[in-house]
Amino acid sequence: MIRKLIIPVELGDVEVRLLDWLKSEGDAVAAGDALLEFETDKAIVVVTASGDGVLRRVLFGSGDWMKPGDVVALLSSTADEALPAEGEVGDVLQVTFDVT
Amino acid sequence: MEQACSHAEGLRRLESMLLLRAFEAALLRQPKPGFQLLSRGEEAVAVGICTVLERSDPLLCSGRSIAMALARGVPSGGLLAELIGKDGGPNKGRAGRAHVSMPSIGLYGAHGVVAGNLSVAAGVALAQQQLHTGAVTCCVFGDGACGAGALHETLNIAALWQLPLLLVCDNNGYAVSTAVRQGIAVEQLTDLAAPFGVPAVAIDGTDVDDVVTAMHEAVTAIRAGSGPRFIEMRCTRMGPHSTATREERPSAELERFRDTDPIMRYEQRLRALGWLDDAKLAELQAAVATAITAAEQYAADAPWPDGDEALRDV
Amino acid sequence: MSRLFFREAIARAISEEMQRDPTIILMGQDIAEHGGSYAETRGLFERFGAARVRNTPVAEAVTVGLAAGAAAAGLRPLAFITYVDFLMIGLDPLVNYAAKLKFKSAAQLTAPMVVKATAGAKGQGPTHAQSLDSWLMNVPGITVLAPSTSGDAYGLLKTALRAPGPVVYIDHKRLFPLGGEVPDGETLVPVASAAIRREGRHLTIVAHSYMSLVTIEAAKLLAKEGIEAEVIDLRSVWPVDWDTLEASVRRTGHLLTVEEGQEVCGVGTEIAFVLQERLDGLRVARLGARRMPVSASPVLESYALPDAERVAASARRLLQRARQDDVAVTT
Repeated sequence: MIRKLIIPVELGDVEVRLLDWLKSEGDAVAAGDALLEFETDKAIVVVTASGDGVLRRVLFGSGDWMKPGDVVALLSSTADEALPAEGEVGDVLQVTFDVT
Repeated sequence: MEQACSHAEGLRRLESMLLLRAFEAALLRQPKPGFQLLSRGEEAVAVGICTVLERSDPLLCSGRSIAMALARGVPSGGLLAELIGKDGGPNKGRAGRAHVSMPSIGLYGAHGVVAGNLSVAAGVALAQQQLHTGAVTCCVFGDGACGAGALHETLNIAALWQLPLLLVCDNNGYAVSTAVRQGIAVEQLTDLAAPFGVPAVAIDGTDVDDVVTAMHEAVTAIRAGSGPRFIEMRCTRMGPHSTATREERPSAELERFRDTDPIMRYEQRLRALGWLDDAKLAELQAAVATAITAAEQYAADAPWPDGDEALRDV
Repeated sequence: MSRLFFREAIARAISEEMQRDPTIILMGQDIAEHGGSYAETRGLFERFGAARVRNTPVAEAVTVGLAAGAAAAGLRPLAFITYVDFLMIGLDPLVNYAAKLKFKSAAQLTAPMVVKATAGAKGQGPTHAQSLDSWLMNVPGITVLAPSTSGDAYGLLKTALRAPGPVVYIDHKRLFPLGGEVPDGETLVPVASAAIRREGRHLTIVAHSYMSLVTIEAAKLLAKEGIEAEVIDLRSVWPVDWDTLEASVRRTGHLLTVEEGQEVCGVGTEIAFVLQERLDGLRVARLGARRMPVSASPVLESYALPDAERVAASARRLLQRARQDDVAVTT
């Protein structure tokens, strides 16, 4: 199954800046792994996966600006699943956000 | 507590106080825009403070500023013009009594808001500290300002930052009609400085030599880097609060004030020292009268200010 | 251009100016090691040291007084007031001393100081969320600047830190979460230079600070109905860029003013009145906060304040009223 990683909409009317990917395309991801760090005007946010999978495609890089709701990456259950065309991904990857 | 001074310096202090009093008497003969705050009974405070401060030491004072400005060295003609709102004064007639300033001689100015000069003076002191000028900033305020929160905030920051700031309370006993005891809960005004660890003394502000001595001690310590100080100078306001205020104090009390007249006291001291006799006093008074006549002429000749010019300085 | 958070644009402006001018000092609550309430002074304490970046106690009166006195005596202080509401406590030295100093000293003393404060509603309630720009523009001698973008925060703050007299620089809580383009080289935004954010021929909408962004959203709504609004961001509340405003209303013939502060004696009231004096027949309307305190309740807060819908509705009403007047005149 393909899932998308999004910037949480709960952040409201903000912009965020991607600091660093902590995983690379092709890396296996286990529940509890930190995926990326981004910053808001006030805080550094670390995004942690809540389930297993493979990071397949990264859509923003370090220094890029994003808004809540933006899709940041696609993940799949297995390494060789075909990625769907743009816009066909429905499920959102469950993650936790650690704000510092 | 007497500062030993020379014969000549003693006479200078007396003449200076005589000038202050004669100037204010002359001012009463002038038309008064608004009202004036006079310093009769408080001349020793002004002369004593300005005797010790260097011209590079910034001075800020309250709206009871006339004696302070003269003692600091504002020319009497210019000051008279300023007080009646004419050009030719240090501030072209715009400042008047409550805001007169003359930065060229370190007079950063009077401030018409009671206690309003305290935090500003702390800022002036901060600039001296930051720019390493070695100057001591002196802020003179009345007993009325001791009831304002500004003093608390200023003492706090001055102590925290060890500002080169000398706070002088010119305690003339009354805030308009409210006696110190009715307006301020502390036993002694110097108690206000104690919680901040700011050294404070109370002195007789009707004795010009005592004022000089206390100022010397404080200014020397502050210049050496020991942080802020507080001096309460106790004196009497011999007249009403302002030229527009009724005098309601009982005449018996006003009678007693005569014994605290700083000029009379100093004359007696100089006579006792053998430095002053009737002839010398008459000589000093004549010199003062000449200066006052010249000041009156200067003020009479001064033009009225130009509105368009003033507008450009907003 | 680089995209920076609003706070980063502020920090960059201050840092560059402090580097250029050693007399600039910063004073305010939590601005030193803590890096500012909005992280807008982050790094400045480390770079410029404790003598130039000074934490103050919670004492706005003495903070503004210190700035005024230090300015008179040769420094160029930048005083931080966390919320503009608290500037009320420091108004005496600002209004009674600094604003009058050049005038009353016959130009022998000046107070080149900046008060930086944050205004606007974002859930903080009655005394942490007001917009008091119109109070300040009423005082002769004070310059009032209010950016709505990172780039203007940078350019206006640099201008403020070179100004000859007291400046109150007011930003807005809702601008801090946003990013914006900031020129890579030094670019100052001069006083009295309004920015046309969107061109339009049917009406001119003048706003400032966060309401500029709200107004741009409103203009998008209006555009869908065929109404083309010209949106002007004042940037400098006082002095006002009258020429840009006048040129715009001469093109559109209609003026709507929008602000987050009160309508009564508001920024927009003044602007509308002056432009009406300059242009016969100009039709005006104003929109500001409803006459009630700002509440911490999100429902009451948004009830009190203009949003894009209300701005658009005011614009429609203005144009409709104008059409009815025209009909009345011709019949």
